[in-house]
Amino acid sequence: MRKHNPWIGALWAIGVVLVVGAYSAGVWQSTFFYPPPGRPDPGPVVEFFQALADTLKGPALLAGFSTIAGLLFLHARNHARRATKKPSR
Amino acid sequence: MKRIVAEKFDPRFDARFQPGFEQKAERQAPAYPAPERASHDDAAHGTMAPGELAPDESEPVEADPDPNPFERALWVFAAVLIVGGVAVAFWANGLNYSQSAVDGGWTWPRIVQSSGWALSGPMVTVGLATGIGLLFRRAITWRPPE
Repeated sequence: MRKHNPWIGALWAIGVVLVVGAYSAGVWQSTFFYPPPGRPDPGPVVEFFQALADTLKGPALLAGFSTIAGLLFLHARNHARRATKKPSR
Repeated sequence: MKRIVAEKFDPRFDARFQPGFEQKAERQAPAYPAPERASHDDAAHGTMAPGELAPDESEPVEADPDPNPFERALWVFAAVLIVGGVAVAFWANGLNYSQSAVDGGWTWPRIVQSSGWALSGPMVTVGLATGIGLLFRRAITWRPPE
């Protein structure tokens, strides 16, 4: 049985979490731009997280998509190496 | 210890390839002194070509995870960029807008504020990319345990 690289597993998790998290944070944060009438003041803690999401969503999306692309390149490289090691028929 | 008959000695070839040569004598006393090994200091100071640096047999290769100082510096660099980028963004957001760009022109607070906004995104992006690149390095150099 082939042993799986734990670092590749961690990178897949990081890539997916970055993309999904950044997109969700962006959607959540955009609700603050168009508040429904009568909405109460969210408070300093929510405003802090709103500003944090505003800062992080772009870089996190870029880094997440780059991570997934890099992992696909890495898998392609490993696949090519395994293919060259196999004896040809 | 003379082991070769003089009249049969051919000067074109090494003593090991002459008739009558005994291997035992060679083991006890090598014909040539071992070439002096270049020290790591020579390589560090650029007084020798990098290819001349012979590996030291006394150090086991890949015996322990390489404590690469550059890798440690890159981890620090990534953390500083991420934390610094977020801090710069919050600091720029916190500056007040007492001076209008239209009325007052470009004043130092506005220049610093716009610089903070411009820098924070790339700083966090490059910081995340550096950390993920270091994880890729770990993934590429990983070998399954024996």
